[in-house]
Amino acid sequence: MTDTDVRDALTRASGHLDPAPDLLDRVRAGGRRRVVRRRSVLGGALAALAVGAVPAVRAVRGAPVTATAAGDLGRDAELLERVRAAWRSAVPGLSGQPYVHWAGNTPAGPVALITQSSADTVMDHQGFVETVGGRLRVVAGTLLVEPGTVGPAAILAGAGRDVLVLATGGQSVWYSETYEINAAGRVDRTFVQVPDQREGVVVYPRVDNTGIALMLSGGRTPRVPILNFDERFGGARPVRIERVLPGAGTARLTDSEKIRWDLGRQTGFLDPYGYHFDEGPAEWYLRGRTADGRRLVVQTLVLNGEARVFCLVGAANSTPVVHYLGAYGTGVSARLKVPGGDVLVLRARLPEKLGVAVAADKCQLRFRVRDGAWLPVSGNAAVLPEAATELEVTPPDGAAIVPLPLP
Amino acid sequence: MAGAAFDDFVRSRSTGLLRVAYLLTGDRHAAEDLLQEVLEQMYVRWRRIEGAPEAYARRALVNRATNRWRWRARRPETTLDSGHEKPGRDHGEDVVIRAAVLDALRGLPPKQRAAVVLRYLDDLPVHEVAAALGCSDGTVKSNTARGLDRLKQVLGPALVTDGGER
Repeated sequence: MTDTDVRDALTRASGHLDPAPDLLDRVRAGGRRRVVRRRSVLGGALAALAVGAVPAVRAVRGAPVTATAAGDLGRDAELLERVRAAWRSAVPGLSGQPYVHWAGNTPAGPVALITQSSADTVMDHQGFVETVGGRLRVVAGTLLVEPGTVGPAAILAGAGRDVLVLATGGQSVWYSETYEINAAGRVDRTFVQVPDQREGVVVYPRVDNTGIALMLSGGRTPRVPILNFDERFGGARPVRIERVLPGAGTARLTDSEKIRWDLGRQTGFLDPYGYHFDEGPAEWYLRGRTADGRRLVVQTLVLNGEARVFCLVGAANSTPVVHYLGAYGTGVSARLKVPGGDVLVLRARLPEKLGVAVAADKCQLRFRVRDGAWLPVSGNAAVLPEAATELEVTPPDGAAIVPLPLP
Repeated sequence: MAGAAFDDFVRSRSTGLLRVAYLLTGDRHAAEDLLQEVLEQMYVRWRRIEGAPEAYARRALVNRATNRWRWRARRPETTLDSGHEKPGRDHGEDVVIRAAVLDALRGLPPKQRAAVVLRYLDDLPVHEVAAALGCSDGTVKSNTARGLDRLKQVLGPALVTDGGER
């Protein structure tokens, strides 16, 4: 029995379970009851203190308040107290005392790294306090870390969110400033080790905030978190649309096939340690079959809003040959301006004269060969015959039909 | 308090967390109760844990499942032996596997059970399992290895005998 068998057995043993449909409603109702209870208890305790009753003080875990911290502002007692006050006000209800590990000047103004213990979770909460408009503000998002430790984490500070403040947590962190897409459509990066700082915090001014990557030594996942990245740059991931084209068969790909036939599962085509805009055009995954019986996949992958187009060909049980056809905007796509908004059309001629891949979300498609009759396309995506020369796109909402020459 | 992000978290992760809770407790109703308790706790503290809700949820699930196990050890209950979920003759193959897996997991100490479930059901890397269990990477590795060995010993024959082709 292999590890894979064990994994499979655990999955099958629990795969029949789904949460009750009303779980969220019940959780919210229960959560609200808990909030009311906590407020009642807290109110009672405060009232007892106010009338001079002897409070039941319990020793709580937590680092002592220290007069200084690391960093060039670490001896500014007034600033440290302001940092702690800002933290307490934004992150109330933790036990122990907030501990400022580092406070320093950055091009975005003073920034501080702070932790505080939590009796509830048996873990510490770690966060950053930054300067916005001359005032201290706690950066959204905290990290749970082992008690008494600092975990590798960063923020993007400043009005342009282009000052990277990175706490290494004593670990070996690797930084990459930007990336390139190479001729094979893969993501190329060069990582450099973050210099070992006695103070544990490194500041990078004026970074490309959607190009950087932070990796722990040895390529361990997950990537080093940038706690406030999603607040500014996050969004909904592009929708993925899968189509099984005629002739491909209805059988689903097995897990091992997916690893070989879906570039979205291969780290070389992704950027697992990088930070990007989430939004972008729909990601297509079209699976079909060539005339000589090989499997054919046309796939687009979106990174930082830009789509790359790939074609995978090979025997179904083999590792496919991957062809990179280019990025949107370089001849493999067209942007149609219609009254309801732009429509992005995939129109990529495939290698080996395998045809032309076309796709346009929510649109109807027809094609023709030179001046021949228009022929319908089943659905909104297809691999057209190699001889096809023109595509007709009917955008959603009945907008005008747009003829489009094929490459 | 919690808002849309919390709702999204519950919608997207409750299935996975329920399955983890099920394998940790070996009982569907206990798993549902456990998950609801943890999610209610998260609802109250959402603003503080929003940066790492998964880590919080896993840690809370493991802690509560372990405490529940300890509590049951002190006050043994008379219900829910392995026969509870045992299949009848005409149940599907997955039910057979489920019974064998639950039996095998019941035989593991809680930390080994949690390590195996998080590593092999949730596919977590060692350091994330360590964070959930509150122990070192080395302890996770040894717990996983021991748990896995034991699981293979127990599961191997059961699956070969009862499961047939998989």
